[in-house]
Amino acid sequence: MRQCLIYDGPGAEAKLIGLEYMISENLFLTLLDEEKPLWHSHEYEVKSGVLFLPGVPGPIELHGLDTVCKTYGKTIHFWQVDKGDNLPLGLPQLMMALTRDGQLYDQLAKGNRNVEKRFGVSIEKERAKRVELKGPDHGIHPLANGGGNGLIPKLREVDCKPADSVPRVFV
Amino acid sequence: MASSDKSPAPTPARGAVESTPPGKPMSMGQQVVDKGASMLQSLTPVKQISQHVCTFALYSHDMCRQIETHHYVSRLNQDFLQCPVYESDDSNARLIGIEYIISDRLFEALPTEEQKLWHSHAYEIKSGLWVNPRIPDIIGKPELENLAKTYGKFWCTWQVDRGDKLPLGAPALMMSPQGVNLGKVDPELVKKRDDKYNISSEEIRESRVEIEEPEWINPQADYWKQHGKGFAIDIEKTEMKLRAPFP
Repeated sequence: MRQCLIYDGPGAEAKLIGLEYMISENLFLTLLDEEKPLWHSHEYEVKSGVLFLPGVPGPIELHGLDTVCKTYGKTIHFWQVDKGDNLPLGLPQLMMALTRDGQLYDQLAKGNRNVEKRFGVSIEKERAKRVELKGPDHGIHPLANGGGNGLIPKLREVDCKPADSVPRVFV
Repeated sequence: MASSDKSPAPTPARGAVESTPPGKPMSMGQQVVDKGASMLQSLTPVKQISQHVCTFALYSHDMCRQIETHHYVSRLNQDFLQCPVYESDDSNARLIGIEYIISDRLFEALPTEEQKLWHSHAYEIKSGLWVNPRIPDIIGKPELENLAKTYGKFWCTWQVDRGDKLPLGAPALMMSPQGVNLGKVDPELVKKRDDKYNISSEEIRESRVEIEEPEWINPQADYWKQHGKGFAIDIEKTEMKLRAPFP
């Protein structure tokens, strides 16, 4: 199990936009079916080369990615900086991961954002290095990745318990 | 449908309250990767964390459920702070959520619907519940004057107090301690914290008497106080906008 803070950049001024938990396949399989859709697989992100560790030499990175490839993650974002929000507004958003070619907008990796240039990586070269890596032993669970559905948060009001129903002693 | 207020049915992921998540101990190989990465990477955003705050929070959908929290605070500018929140200050502490803290100036500019999700900090600070462990209160005082006027938005993603061994369900909105009825923190919880750090919240409260109350706390914040309602989050299915098949 790993827990990750997610920022929108690598600098001192970076905004803390969310968090992610990563668990092994074994732990994922213990989750209730209702919970599984909130988690996403990592196999494609790792094998396609889009996921990388900036500044970490290939062999060390590859060793780490071997494990990550088989894990599942649960990512929640609280700050939609891509909408131009300058404060963390609204409800927490459940995030999904990339799961196949064609989903990622080119301009994120290569175009004006140019992740490749900024971090000195080549996604194509990474993909070639990672050919041998394997995803979850039991294959990607069909309920993961939203179970194929989009998932959206909704706010619901609930009644507070009346104060005097709560047994409390205060000195 | 996953919700923040529905306790999951008993599963292997729930059970006795233990502080270690399930999972195998770290392999040697993993330790090599972690060591290598931490030596070679700057981790700059994380290094901006400049203080540790220990305080308490209450679940908006059930204010009887209260937790001790450990905020690791970084200041982005005069009006804004961001804090990963942990269940303790141990190296194996679970990351239970994130809180954002803004000045009253920024808060007043928020839409009314957004303000409902935020809570005030004045009571928490003046009452001595909010502390910087192991720092003499006098050092923290000037900052506290400023913080007493702020508002916070705190989402909890791992409900460890109900025994969840993994982060389950939808994120839960949290509220801050207040001086009235449902906002009061269980004295047992406070005592446990005070004993751990060898402090007295009572004494700290007395030493903070001079900290100015904010002139006004926006009634949209601490929504439960005026409206008797909390909030829960439900995660529902929806049609996904796609540019390629998924998954």
